[in-house]
Amino acid sequence: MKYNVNAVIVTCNRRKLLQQALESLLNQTYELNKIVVVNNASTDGTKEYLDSLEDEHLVVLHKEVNEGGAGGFYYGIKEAYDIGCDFVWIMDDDTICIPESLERLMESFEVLNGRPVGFLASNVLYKDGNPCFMNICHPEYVWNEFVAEGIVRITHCSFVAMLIPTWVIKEVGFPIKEYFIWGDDGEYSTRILQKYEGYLCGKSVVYHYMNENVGVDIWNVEESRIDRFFYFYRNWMCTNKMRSQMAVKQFERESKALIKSIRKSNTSNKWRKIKVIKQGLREGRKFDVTIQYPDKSNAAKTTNTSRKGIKYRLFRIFRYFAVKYDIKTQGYVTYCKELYRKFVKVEPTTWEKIKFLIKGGLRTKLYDSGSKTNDLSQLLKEVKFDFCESKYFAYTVDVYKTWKIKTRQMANCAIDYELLLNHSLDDLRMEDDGEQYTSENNQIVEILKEYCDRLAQEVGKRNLKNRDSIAVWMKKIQSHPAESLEEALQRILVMNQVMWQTRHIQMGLGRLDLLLEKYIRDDMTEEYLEDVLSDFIQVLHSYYWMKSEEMPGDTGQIIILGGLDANGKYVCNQITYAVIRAIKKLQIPDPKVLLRVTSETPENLWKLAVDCISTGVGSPLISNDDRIIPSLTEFGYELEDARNYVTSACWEIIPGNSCEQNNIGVFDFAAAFDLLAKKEDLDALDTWDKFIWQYSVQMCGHANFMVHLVDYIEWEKDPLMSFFKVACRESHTDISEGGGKYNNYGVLSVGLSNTVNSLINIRKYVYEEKRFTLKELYTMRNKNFVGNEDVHALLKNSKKYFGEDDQTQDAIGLANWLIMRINETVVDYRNRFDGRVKFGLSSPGYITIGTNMPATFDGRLDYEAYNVHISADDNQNITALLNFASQLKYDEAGFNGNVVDFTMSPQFIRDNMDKFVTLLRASIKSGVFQMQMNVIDSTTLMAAKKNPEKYPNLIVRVWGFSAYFKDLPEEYKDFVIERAIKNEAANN
Amino acid sequence: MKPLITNIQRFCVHDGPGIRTTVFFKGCSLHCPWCANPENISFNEQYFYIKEKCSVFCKYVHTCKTRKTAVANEEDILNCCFGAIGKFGKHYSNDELFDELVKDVQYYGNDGGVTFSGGESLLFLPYYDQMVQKLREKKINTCVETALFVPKDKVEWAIENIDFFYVDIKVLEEGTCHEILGGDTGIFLSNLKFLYDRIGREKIIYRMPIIAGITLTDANVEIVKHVLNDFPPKRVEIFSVHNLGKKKYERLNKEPAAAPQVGMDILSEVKKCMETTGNEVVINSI
Repeated sequence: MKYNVNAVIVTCNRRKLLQQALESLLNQTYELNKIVVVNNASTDGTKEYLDSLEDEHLVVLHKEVNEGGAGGFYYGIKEAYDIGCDFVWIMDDDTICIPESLERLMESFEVLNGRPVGFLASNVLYKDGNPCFMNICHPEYVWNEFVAEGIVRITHCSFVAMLIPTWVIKEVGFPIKEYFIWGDDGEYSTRILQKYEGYLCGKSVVYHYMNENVGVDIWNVEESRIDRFFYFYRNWMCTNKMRSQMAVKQFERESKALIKSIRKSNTSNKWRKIKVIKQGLREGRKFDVTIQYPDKSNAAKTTNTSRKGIKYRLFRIFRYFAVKYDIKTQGYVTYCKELYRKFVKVEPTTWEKIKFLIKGGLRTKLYDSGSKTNDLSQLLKEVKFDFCESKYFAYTVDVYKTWKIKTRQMANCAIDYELLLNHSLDDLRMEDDGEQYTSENNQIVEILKEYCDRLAQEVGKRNLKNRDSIAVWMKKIQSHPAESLEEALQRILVMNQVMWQTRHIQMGLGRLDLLLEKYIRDDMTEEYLEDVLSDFIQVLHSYYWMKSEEMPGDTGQIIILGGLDANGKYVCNQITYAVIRAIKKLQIPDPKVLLRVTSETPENLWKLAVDCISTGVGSPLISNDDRIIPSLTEFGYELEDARNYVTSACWEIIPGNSCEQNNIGVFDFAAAFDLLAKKEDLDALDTWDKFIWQYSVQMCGHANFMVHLVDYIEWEKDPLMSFFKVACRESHTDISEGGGKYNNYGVLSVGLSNTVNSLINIRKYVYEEKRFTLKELYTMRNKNFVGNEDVHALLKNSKKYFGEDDQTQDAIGLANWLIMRINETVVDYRNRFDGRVKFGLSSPGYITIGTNMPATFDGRLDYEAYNVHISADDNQNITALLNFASQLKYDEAGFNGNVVDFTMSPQFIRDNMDKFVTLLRASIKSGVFQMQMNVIDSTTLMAAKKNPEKYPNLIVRVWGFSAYFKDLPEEYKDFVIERAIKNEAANN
Repeated sequence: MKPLITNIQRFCVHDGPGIRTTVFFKGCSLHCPWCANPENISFNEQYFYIKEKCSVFCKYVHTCKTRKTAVANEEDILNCCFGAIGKFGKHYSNDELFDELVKDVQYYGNDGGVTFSGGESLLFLPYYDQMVQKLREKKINTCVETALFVPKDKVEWAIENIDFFYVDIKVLEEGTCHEILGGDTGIFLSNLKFLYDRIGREKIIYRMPIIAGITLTDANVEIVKHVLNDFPPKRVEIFSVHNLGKKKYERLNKEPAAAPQVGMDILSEVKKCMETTGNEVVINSI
């Protein structure tokens, strides 16, 4: 494709060089549209020379006053922009291009197809062919993605030959003309890079005809040019001011250090240099500039870049304490920041924030002695007890204290709670055989005993309702197994709080009904059970903000109910019912419940579950044992472990006795659309078969990349988790060294629905009806269908076959084929503990990943969210969706959580409870893997978005957990509302 | 003429017991002014135009006749990318329809099944005799919604093959019925008697829209009460008409009929009045 390119040259008193430069531009093999020459008040006859030229390409601007390079480029780019073009190519008057310079740049732009390119720079050489030291660009951290094409990703760029797309200029504005000289290019390129990517194209060469090939630095500068450093310091100060206060501080620190070393050195003119620097910094602090935009409406949005808001001030206070008390521990500040970030999400009032900062700043402590057991011992000795309100239990986490995590700590799974229910701490002691594991194990026994003693003492001092029993239990835990229901629950709470204390995030509660079955006595009434478990659940709900990981509600405290026992019999007992009843009554989003069901699940349990769902609390998520357990055994898990599965925070299956990490990465099915365009010649893909094969090749390449990310994970040594895992105790190996039983890791995926719908559209319109060629369609898509709104509408309005059981386009076959290709890719992978990789079709990333990906061919535009989990795109034909989901292939490695997600209005379920139960039961029978529901109507949601204070307790389901609607980020709110509206439109 | 179908709606919970799939046939022997499914009155294919979907970004924006006249034009349908022009009515063969209806067979359970609605479903069902036999072999419950203004042989076929009947009762005054609905009450009454005698009370539910001035007149209610006395059904359902069909009228370029909605108070009154015949009367909220 041929683009319009306008060149801009700024010149001042260098007539000869300008002549050469212009000639080199006119000789370009890629023809330029216009060449804008800005004459910065030259006095050497440049004006006359320019006026004498008669070339239709030339546009000359004569400036009466020399406004420096910055002013020149400002006017030049503005002129080039106003003339109209696709790209602006800017350079100095001493820049001489080779004839192919531009052509190579444009070729590189094609190679970078799909990337958000902000600018392209040429390789700048000195006239003798050596690199030009003044214009060395620095590579990005990951710079080599396109290096085979001679393209390197860079962090900034100078105005010596820089090609900028006009849409970028439209968004980020023009260079700042007030800068006069120096720092204008640095500021402009970093401004562009905040939103785009910059690349250096090695094949495109330009020569910089400077007098001498030297970089500029203040040590060796000629006397006459010292004063120019004023601009450098003023402009960079100003640039940093626009960026952040942190950057300003940094820059000031560096400058001060420089001044100090100049003062001590014996360079010439050192006092003058120091004066210039100081002057520059001083001016820079006062210097106020506004960025000019081609489109005035943009201006207001982005000029206010300085951070003076209340948030920043609070952060300063916070940092003050951080610095005062423990500057050396890097992790300390990070942890404080993390805590604060979590806290402000749920607590918006300023006063609370300030209180939190002061308290947090003073109390936060990270334990890092080099030995994990020492850290743990120290930590548990020093934690403050802050018991929460409870009728039966003691539960306390000191959120400000924790141990330091240097790499990555295993979490997001469940520990084997029955260990400490069936045994006492003394029982868990091991015979000392000199191994590190056993000695650590015995140390942990001691540490926990000491901790329980402290708890017992503290409980005695506090005014807890049940303090006498708790004190007794805390003693008994050291020498006896648990004997009563309440005692067992208290032990689970102790284990849970120790896990939270050591930042084992998102730990599940395991199969609670099975764990507690033996403590049920005949004289326990329904009311009593419900009361105890309600209390247990409420206690777990405390520290909600600290437990929430990415979003409020993402706590991972999942209670697994129901399901097959080791003998293959369906288990459900009074506890099962009582927990669901309690959740239904409490209406809190966390902890959440996953209900394992089979065709044997009793009707009244189904009814209770649906009743609970209909309240909108989001729990329980339904998980189909009949489908899941066979896929687990087929994959290679032992039957007993398969039957004893629990899940990670959302839905990812963890077979019993294993400690698997199921959320290592997220794989994007639709990413291959970009990869394909980059790596393949689209014109060569002239048949559907060739296309779909190449698509799958790229997709598998991407999958392979994701899978191998696992190789680089360094697990943190974790004696505590290893203590609570049966497999580690048997193998005497730490969990971080592969002590778990299977050591398989899981990745999740997004975008299957969008991909399948896109592929079907491509097949129909490109290969069957031949309305466009593949390349044409890609070109339109790369521009986000701007100017081709009709094509976008065509794609959007085409029937979406994913989630439909209409077999005319064989969407199910296509989806299963893609899944099979992924299976083929991952089947041979083994990690260093000889574990395998599994994947699932549902992931929390549908918004975060979708909003970073360009348009797909199913009507989804640039940076829109992907469809959620397994769901139908527009009309909610629920039985068709369930039929579709039941035919997807979940065997081989594809069992890492596959949730069908749909929205229902609460009225609908309440009016048709029996029919809804029938629906769910039938879908489980036909083979749906897992499902979750948002029971909500759009009117309530919209009202809640408008007046959050009126709906403080409204709960919705996002990702795989429930959360308070008011705490969600805006894009998630909109997403949930949109889905509710679609559902209502389809069902009315 | 081949029967046309406008919609096959799955997971219906309002058209009979259990989870059902409802088939809407195109074509009706009456033309009730309050009809909520105006696309099912004519027996022929009809094109519709959705103004809100029509966009200025369309390539054919200057040449499209439909856009100019706001009346759907067959020629423009292929050009339309925005889904603004469409067609009501699609023919299904016996096998095609059967395949569609058994997709949800696992959800039907014991009492769910298939409902035939329309339009006047009885006019078309004998054409699908083969399909209905296959449903019966699979023991799938079948149900029709009919106004019974049909030739007697169709009723006879239905008695043999259909499990359950929803019979619409509308206007039973002879003159008004002919004038407003275009139907002959004599046919209705003789069909009803014929049907009732053969299948009995347990397999019939009456449905009656309550519209002030049309069905809700003293004279009409009197006649309906007589019918209820003579042929008491399992249940009577009464409901107020809603204006859900309004959009469809616009799309078909027809004047939507203004059928006044009645309040809950009036419905309860009618309910009380009808209950004097000793029948169960319920108010449907839809």
